[in-house]
Amino acid sequence: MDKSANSTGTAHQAEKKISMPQMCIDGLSENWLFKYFGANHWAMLCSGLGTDSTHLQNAEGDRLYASFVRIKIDAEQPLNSFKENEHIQFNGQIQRYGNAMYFSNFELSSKEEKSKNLSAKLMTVFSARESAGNQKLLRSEVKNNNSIVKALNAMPEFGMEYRKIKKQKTKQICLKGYDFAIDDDVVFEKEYNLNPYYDVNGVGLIYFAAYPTISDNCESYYFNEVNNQFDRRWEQHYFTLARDIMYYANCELSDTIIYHLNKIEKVKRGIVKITSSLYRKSDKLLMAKIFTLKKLK
Amino acid sequence: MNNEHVEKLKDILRASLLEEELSINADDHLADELGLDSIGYVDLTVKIELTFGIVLSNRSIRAAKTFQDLVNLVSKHSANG
Repeated sequence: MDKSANSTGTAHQAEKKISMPQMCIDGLSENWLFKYFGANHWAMLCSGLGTDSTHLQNAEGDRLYASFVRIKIDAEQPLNSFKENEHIQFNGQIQRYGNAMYFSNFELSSKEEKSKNLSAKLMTVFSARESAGNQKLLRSEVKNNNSIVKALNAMPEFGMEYRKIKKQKTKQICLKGYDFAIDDDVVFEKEYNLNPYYDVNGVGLIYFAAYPTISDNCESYYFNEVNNQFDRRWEQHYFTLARDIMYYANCELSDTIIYHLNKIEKVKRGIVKITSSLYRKSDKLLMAKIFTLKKLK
Repeated sequence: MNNEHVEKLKDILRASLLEEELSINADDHLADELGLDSIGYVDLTVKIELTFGIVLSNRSIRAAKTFQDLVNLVSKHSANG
């Protein structure tokens, strides 16, 4: 299934056959894809440092996590175009800015149909828990950094844009040529109760791959139960074409997430732009901004 | 640390704050007053290393509360280097 997988300090190559674990409704699973990219980002990062993830520590001896702060995927065709038993080729590489920030790029293409391809960009920053919980993760850096991952002399635009959005220096982002205004309008609000069996990763934090799933879950409730315009479920009509997520915070498992659907806009060729936000209910802190393009089947 | 180096450090800090025109005073608090966020600290650490050739830990740079503390920290490490 996993043919010629190879992760060195700076590169990843692998071929996979799309089977049920890689799939969800009618095509490639975005959740699986995020996990795959995330795992291989970590694998390249750790390989470059010559250690494994459980031994990543700062000077104080605290366990470090390469926390995802931004991920962007951009596909030529929506994820439902990738089918069972199709072979997909992955190529990835990683670079770093200083000792704490890592940037990876992945390209995915179908072996059978080259026009089916997808690119992904990921950005992580090392962080450590300030206390026992998940409320506050402090930025940190590895002890004895000896990474062989190529160091950059300037922060990539991908990271700069994240910072500008966080500091409200920019009011829009562009995804696949479509501009998304960044505002706090609320079309629909819903509470989401965390599912520890699914939303939480191996170190007890809300998994970065769970954020879009939580958003999709609440979004589908809106389109299926509140504003239903179809004879079938929303999930059977619209599939992800591109997504950009800015991560700002994690939360305790006992907390509840508040989902805001900020904006929906139908654009040409059956494409819909969706902007959403996730907040912690306990202190109303913004956890993520999610910008999505979905395409009608 | 001479004035030229202090001005250079101000330029670096402005870039890390994404505030190119900001006026910076010695007693300005980096986080509370100037708004240096967690990734800003990481960026500042890298920029100081690239500009002055000194490696500061995240912990030491976070211990510098004001701009003057930062000047003192860079001066100390420059002298030691």
